[in-house]
Amino acid sequence: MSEKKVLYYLNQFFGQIGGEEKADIEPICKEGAIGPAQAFEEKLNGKAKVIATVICGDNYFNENREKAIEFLNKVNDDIKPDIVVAGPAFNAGRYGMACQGVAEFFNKKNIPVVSGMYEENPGLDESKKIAYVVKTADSAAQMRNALPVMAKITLKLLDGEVCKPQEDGYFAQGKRLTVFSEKSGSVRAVEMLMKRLKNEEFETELPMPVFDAVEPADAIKDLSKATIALVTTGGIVPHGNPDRIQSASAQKWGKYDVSKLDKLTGEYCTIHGGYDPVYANQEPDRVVPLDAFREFEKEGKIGKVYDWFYTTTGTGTAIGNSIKFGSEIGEELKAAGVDGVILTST
Amino acid sequence: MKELDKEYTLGVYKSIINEKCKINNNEFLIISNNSIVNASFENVVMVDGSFIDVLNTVKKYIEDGNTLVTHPLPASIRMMFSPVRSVILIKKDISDSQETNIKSEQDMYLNIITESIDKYKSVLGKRNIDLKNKSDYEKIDYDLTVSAVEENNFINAFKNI
Amino acid sequence: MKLELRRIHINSIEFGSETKIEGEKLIIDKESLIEELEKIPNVKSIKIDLAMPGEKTRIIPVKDVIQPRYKVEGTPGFAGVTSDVKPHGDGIVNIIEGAAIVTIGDIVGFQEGIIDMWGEGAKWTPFSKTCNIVVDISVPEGIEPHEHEETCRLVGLKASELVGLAAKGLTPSDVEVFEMGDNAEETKKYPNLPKVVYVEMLISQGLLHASYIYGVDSAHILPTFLHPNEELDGAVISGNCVAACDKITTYQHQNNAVIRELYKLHGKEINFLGVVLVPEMTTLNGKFVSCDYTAKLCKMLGADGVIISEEGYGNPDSDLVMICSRVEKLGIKSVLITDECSGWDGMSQPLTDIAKEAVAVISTGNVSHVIELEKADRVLGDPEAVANIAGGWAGAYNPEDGTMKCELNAVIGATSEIGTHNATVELY
Repeated sequence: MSEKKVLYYLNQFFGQIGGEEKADIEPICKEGAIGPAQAFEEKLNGKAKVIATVICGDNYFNENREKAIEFLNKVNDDIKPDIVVAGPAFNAGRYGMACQGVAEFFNKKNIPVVSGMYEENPGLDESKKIAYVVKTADSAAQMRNALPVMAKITLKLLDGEVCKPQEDGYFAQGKRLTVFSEKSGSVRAVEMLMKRLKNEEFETELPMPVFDAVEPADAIKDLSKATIALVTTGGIVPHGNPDRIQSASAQKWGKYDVSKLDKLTGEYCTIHGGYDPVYANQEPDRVVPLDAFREFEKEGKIGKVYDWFYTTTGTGTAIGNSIKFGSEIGEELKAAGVDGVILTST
Repeated sequence: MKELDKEYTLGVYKSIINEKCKINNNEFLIISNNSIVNASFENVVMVDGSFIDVLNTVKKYIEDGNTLVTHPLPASIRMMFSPVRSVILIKKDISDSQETNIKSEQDMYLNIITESIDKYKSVLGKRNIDLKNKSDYEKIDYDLTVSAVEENNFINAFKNI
Repeated sequence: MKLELRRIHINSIEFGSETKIEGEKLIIDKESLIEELEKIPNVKSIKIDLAMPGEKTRIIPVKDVIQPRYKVEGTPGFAGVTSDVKPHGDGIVNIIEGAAIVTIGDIVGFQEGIIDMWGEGAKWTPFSKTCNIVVDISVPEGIEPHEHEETCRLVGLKASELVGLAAKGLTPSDVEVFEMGDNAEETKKYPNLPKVVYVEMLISQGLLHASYIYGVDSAHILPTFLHPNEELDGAVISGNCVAACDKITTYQHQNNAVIRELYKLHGKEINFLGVVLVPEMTTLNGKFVSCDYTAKLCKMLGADGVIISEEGYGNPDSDLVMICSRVEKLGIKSVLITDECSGWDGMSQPLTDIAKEAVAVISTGNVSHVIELEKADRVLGDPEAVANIAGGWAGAYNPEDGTMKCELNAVIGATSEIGTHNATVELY
């Protein structure tokens, strides 16, 4: 079998360009294996070679997706890889989102993609469906554990072998395939019942989805006396983004004083990386309706608009962080005596 | 025996064929796109469209406060490919007016119809609706509706005394 | 009750001058069989063909499959349907093992139900392994669908009895005894074993979606309790002819896989109390009545665990989940057996009704799983029905080589929710 071609994708840090300060670099393509791609290649036992490594800044990829994809397209045409390996991104959110972008692009071209992420990485949800994302620890110190697993799957895929999530160590893609079991359904049912009756462990064949239900608070008794706060995950920030809130996979939230403003237009813009910014930049009130609420205030429909509005970016933000932000913002609002919140998302 | 022997039957079908099923038209309505059902009952909201249009219309009626009598989906996969479907509802002015019960029941019916619409779409997938056998589906759907009315009559006989 | 099932194994069938068994060969007197069956009211004509495993034969659309048997001792036939009403469950039965009566003939144009005797399709149905006696029933003009269905049902059952006569007078060595006293007796014998009830849901919604218990249409009954021997002896028959993959054929009732498995453990690891037959009602109130009653029945019987099997797809899923959550709340542990619909790529949400109590579920396959069927040399039944499947969606049929893509939901018994076979679903 002729040697198979692997294309490797790394961010600016693992690509040995630089740290956070280089997160904006444009993608480049270097011949051969760079950084961890070298250790990865060794594990391929000569059956495949890393022909080239694409290195791209995490911020650049997330904020200039189209251009980044164009670059990948050109590399794909030049190199025609048999398989693509991206990461491992561990728990790095923006890196994970970039790997997701890489996976989506090559998936459309029917080229398999292997990656590695920690279970909380926000890029995981979508990439695991279309790529083989190996389960990794949350820190890059575990690189030498992740690479061999990724290499093994890569070789299996190149050989045309079927991979299984439990055996091969990757996150299940969510595909439910009908296969034949050794035992008939009735036998399996009776065995499962016996395990339950004996309080032994068993594994269901059809897991029920888990829903995280949030109990709504009591209704506001008198809206005309209520203080309403505006909160958004639409990434609306003052011009210049003074607090440097990320465009994706937000690590923080911000709060800004709007007590003297009748509308956000003119003073605010959007830095959200997940939607077309044109209309939000023209009139940020479309995302955070301060103008409408000032009118309600004047008409007496609500008591008043809270002085501060809170903002962050929703796209690619980890569930863990979202819960943290929500609790922190909620505490402040409660302490301030706010009665209700308008939460806008996009 | 080559000729049709109408006197021979094990079941109770005669009562169904000979006698139109009784359905209280002030209480019930049937949402359907089945011409046989339309011709056999009064108070049919005739939907001009396909199975999914019937389901969507049922959803609107539930949002409007009417309650479900029959489950929106049929019991066999093959019937999901039918071009026709009939669903029986109780008119909103008639249903129990206990304030506390209404909201949670309303939620339950909304859940049922929303899940039914999702399930219908996922089972149908990219399949074509079976228009070729439309008249057969109409007969079966009509019969299943009659069956449901009978069942309802057994259970809800004295609801509004 | 004590039921002795004696099996005479055959592996081939031929037509001959007398209906009898010679060694492992079943011989059928075709003319006499047809003559007898044509006596049934509203039968215009009967055609009988044979389909052996491995032949490139396709049978479609299948109405029902019945196992040919001869009752040596005890209530003969199918009480309440082909014979007088008497209890089933006691006696001696001679079974022609390896043979099956398959009735075909569409009552409505859209019936599916394929049995392929070879190739890919054969892997998915248990009836590709039986020697099939295919009975095609024609009825006179002007017949109503109800009468048509009833006629086909009677012909199938009668045919199984007539062919079963071949087993008369034989004493095979393969004997299986099903013996179980009433609940009080058994509990006295095994006071410490956990009590298990089998809850079997039956489709009960009307024409072509019916089941019969001692001839009683299950559509307007409350859940009912049966001794497992009764079902093994023919008390439950199928009138369900539309859904193919999860339909419980009469053959499968006669050989109910869950009952057989539970029986094996009775007295050793469990105290098998019996079977609760649950009608799947159409109306929501009907479902509440049925599910509440079932849970109560299980509780009153003292069940520690139940296995719940479903028949059908779509609205019965809500009954399945309702019964599960009710029994779990009463402290009874449940295991559900159901098929699922996860789309062609397996990525869709399998069940829309969910209850967090349904923690133990056996999946018997994805009904939308697509398989490829080769062209058959011989088609027994209606070629139009083949066109129904082939026309299922664009690209389903390849006119060049005659192969068809077909979803599992068209194959008889493919995702049988009483677990008769080995299909399951794995997560990839």
